[in-house]
Amino acid sequence: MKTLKPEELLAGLPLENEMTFSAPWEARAFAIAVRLSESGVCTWDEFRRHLIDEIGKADKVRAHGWVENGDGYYVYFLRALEAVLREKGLVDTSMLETRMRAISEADHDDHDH
Amino acid sequence: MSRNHVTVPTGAALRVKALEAILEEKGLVDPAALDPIVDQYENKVGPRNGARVVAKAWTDSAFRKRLLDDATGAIAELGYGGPEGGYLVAVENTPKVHNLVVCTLCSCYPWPVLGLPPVWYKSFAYRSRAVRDPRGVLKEFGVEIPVDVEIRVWDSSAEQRYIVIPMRPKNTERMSEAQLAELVTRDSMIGVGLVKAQA
Repeated sequence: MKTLKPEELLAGLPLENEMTFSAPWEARAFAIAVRLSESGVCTWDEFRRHLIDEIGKADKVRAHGWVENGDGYYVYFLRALEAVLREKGLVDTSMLETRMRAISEADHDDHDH
Repeated sequence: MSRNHVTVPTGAALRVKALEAILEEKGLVDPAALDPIVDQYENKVGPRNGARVVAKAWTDSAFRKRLLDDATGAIAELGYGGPEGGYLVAVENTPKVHNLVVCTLCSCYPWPVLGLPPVWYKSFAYRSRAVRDPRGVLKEFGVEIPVDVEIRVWDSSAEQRYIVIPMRPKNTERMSEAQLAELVTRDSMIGVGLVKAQA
């Protein structure tokens, strides 16, 4: 992912033809959030409260001039998505990490063949 | 190798894949429903919708009035609505007032008329400076607003989203609504651009 300094973000604009998403996972995370709010699993406002919270935390870190782990809007977006699912008791962190391990091991096995 | 530390973006891609798998298993998300959503926001919903709204407002004074009174209702006349489209407010640029839109807390943006926000709209730099130093920010976008023009900054929220109706440029009297819509840029509807005067 491209990380830009704030000055660079505002330089050389406007970018009329820039892409909506910079990686497929961003689009996927966005679509999951939209789908969950469409189907009433959570409301968009519930999700947004977490998004504001995650962005606020990242802003504080930036305001102190510290380097933040994982720059980029969709990183906060994904954190907010996880937070709302945790709050609803639907997906917790250990469940997620177990599944991540399983997927990466399965991928690894595929590559060995 | 430690698996506790997840790096971005490869970690993020894996995280989303795992999340999707769990949600599918729980019957909460059908993966087949996700591609149409991505397609919708990547290809179908975008600033061209807003440009049509602006061009109609320029050519149809009754529509312009309805738009300024109740933007949500007015854009529905053109078939636009849906998520993040509620509580839309249209603010009009005039020779005395220039409007600029920001969302200081996150990224509230009128999806049905402008699509998803550009990267810089979500950046810390824009969110933190648009309110404090709108003229400075506009200058970086190449927009010089005369000192006697008031700049109004609108901070979006869950309750209200904004679309700027830019000023119609000179020498466009003979253009059709469709031709006018071609002139309207996304940036001009956020207030960081102007619609260029025609020769």
